[in-house]
Amino acid sequence: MGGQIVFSRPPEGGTLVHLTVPREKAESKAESYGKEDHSVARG
Amino acid sequence: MTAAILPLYPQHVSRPSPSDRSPTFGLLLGLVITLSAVLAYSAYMTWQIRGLRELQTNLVDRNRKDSLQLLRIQNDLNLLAVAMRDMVSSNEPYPLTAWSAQFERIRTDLDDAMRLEAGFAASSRTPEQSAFLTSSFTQFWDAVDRIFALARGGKEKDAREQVQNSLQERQASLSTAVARLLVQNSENEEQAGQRIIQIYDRVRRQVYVFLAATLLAILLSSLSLIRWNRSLFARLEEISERRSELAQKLIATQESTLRYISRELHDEFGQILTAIGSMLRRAGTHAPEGSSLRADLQEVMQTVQTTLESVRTLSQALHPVMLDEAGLESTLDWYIPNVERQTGIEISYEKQGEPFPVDGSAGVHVYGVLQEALNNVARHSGAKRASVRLRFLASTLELEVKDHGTGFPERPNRRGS
Repeated sequence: MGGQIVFSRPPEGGTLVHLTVPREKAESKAESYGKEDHSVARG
Repeated sequence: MTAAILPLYPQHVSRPSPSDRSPTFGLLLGLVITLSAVLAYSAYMTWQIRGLRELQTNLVDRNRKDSLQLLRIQNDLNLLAVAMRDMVSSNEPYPLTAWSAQFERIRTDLDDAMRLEAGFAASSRTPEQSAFLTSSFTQFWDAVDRIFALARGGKEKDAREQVQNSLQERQASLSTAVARLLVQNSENEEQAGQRIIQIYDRVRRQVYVFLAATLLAILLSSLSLIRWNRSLFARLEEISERRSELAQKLIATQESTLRYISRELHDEFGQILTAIGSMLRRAGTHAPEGSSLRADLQEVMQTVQTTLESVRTLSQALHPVMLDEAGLESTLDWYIPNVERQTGIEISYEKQGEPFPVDGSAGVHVYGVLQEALNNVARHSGAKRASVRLRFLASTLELEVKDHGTGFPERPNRRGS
């Protein structure tokens, strides 16, 4: 799908998996998608 | 329920023809032909140069040396003519024998010149010419000997008459013959010059032809290599496209199969187990309160419920039906707390940016990456906390999964799509 996945080790330790997908490949052409409030982070 | 099975392999797989596989044979053949042409031309040029050198050495140089000796002979004949003029002159008070020593010196020089000239003129002189010259000189010197004998015998007057009547004519005849030979040498030299010019012209023309043929061969070889390279790169591109297409079809087939199995588990087995649970619940109401049958039915009903949950979990793990029905965001909202419950890992989930609808295929991939990443966190990292970040950016959709565990062994970054 034209994306890129990178596995790395952050300086503070552990593992970071970073997936990037171009928007033109990721975005659906369908119009019916409701907007939601995503400003609140869950912990 | 059915699933569309895509063909794994391209329908048209063209194989390279033997001539397209490698240009080695053609290049080797061209190299052999070019080397053979160079060797043949070098041999031909060597032969031409040797001929030219022989022509110059054997003909022109010898001709020039022969002409020098002929001029020497001519000079001696002129000295003899002057001496004979003095001998017959009435003004000279000396007897004829006074010229005897001069004639001997000239004779010695003439013999030496004749010997050298015969050596240089061997190739350009006919045997008749050589024999005529030799016999003429022999007769001349015989006449000289007879004249000096007469003079020494006191017949001075007879001797002078023979000089005047015979010897001067013989000298003139010899001088004419030598002059003819000089002219012939000059003509031979001119012809040799013409032949040298012809050889140079012929060699020059052949150099042009050889250069043109060599350039043509280089041009054809280069064009052939360019054509082969273009064909090779086109084929590599085709193979790369096929490989990519095959990988995509493989992934699509895998997704299709997993979706099919997931649907079957969710819809078919889920409904059957739900129906069994309902029937067991109804059967339990007919059993006496506190009876062992009622307790057994209750236990079976619990087992069915556990199996139903396992089937649903497995169905979601293979391919979350929710992904098709509710989209990526809602699926992650459901999936991440579920992983927290199952693994005991505290997961911080954050969404950023203005969300946009995610395509089904891309959603499956993003979900699969998240699933594998969290599985790795649970199985290998030893971490108790992890964070997931989903970012809807202007040009990309990004997913980050981060843990504070042991990490993986140091290796170069792995990239893929």
